[in-house]
Amino acid sequence: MITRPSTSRILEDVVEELMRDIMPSLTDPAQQIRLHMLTIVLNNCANASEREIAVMREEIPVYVDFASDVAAATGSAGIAAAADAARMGDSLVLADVIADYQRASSAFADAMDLVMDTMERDLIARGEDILRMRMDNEREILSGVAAVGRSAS
Amino acid sequence: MDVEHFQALLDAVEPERGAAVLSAAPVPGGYSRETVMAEVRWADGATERFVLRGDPPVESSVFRSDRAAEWAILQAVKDLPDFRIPTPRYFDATGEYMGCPCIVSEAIDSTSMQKFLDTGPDLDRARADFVAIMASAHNTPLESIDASIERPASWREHIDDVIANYERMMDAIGEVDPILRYTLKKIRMNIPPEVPLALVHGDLQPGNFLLSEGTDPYVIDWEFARIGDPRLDLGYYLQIPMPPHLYHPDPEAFVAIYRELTGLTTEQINPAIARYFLLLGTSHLMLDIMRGTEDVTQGRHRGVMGTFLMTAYAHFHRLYLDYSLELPYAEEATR
Repeated sequence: MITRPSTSRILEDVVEELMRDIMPSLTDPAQQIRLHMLTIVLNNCANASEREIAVMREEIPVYVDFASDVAAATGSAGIAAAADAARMGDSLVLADVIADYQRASSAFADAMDLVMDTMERDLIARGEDILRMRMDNEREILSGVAAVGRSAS
Repeated sequence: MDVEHFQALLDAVEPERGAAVLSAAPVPGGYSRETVMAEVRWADGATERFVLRGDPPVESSVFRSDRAAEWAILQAVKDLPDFRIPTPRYFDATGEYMGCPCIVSEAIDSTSMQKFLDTGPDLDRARADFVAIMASAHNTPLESIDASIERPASWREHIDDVIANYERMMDAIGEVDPILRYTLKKIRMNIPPEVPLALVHGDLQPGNFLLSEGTDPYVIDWEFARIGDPRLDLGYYLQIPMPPHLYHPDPEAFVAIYRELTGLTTEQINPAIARYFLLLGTSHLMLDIMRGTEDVTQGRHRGVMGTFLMTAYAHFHRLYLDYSLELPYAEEATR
């Protein structure tokens, strides 16, 4: 398999071509704005391709461990079953990792709901830290707001 | 929405006036509707400029709003005394002439308040002016608004419907988003005090205020307007990313002016409640964004916005977590 250049580097090179050679040839401001938006999308994709599988596989055990601990603390059979069902598989195929990630996210959300209902203070604090971690990872991959071309008129 | 289409519309609605459409140029930058600036010469030699607002093709757009509902709102507010809107002139409801449902309004020689803010004015004064325009819309007596505009049966029914946007978001993507689940739970633990229902603009920001010499400001872009909780507009403005911001440098000063102009109490609006309403005042946009991203997931193209608005998705997602983490738990909220 060809590994060089990486997918992210290829996408970055496409962005460079679009900005250096295609953008100057566009005279329609609407098309310029659309191209600028597309380059932001491509840059985000480059960023995601570098690490999205690794990020999800780092997060999955955190969610499952939290759900397991909530099940143990509360005696919830439903949360225990959800945690067991959300154990990470071995596959590194993106679609499989996404499916694992969704199951783990669901188990975590159910567990968080339960501790918020029962006001388990320590577990709530731990769950909120996990939410912050999830957001920090998301922020690293997606660049956040970009008000490209927003007209002020 | 080009010269030929607009000519056909004017020939149909103003057959006696001998219109000649001289130009029709797209105005780039809108994230929702397509906008065109057009110039017309009438048979008597007078010229006039118009703004055409039309629906982009469904398959290449993300935000959903109803031009007929917007037209009804424009008709309901066009003659109100407390603020101005560019006069709505023509409406092609079916797209028979313009190729898409389209509202035609007079064009105003103006500069937007956002551009004015870029010139470095006194921001205390600008804040007061901004809040005054916002309050003028919210103070509009509901009995002066045409009865055809839908009114919620009660404040609680209305606010529950807005909160339900979070359930709609999660239904739209068909998977569990722990951040949205957490945000929704904190929202429900912190239902704010009731306020009188009011005219809500839905996209209230300096970019939608037009400043013109010798007149009161004009308020434009009413596509998300409705009757509801006026604090939705305050919360919405908090997330506007374009600087300089008129709220964040001094939230207490902002809400104090608003209270003075609207008569709401400190319990009804304060910086904490304004931040709560960011979670609600943006939820209609987040819902459309998430429906768009789900379409992309399912292989349905939604134009550049379908993927580009992932940046807005991330922006709102971050704000939702940050702001909901600040909200107290139910037992704290009731102390």
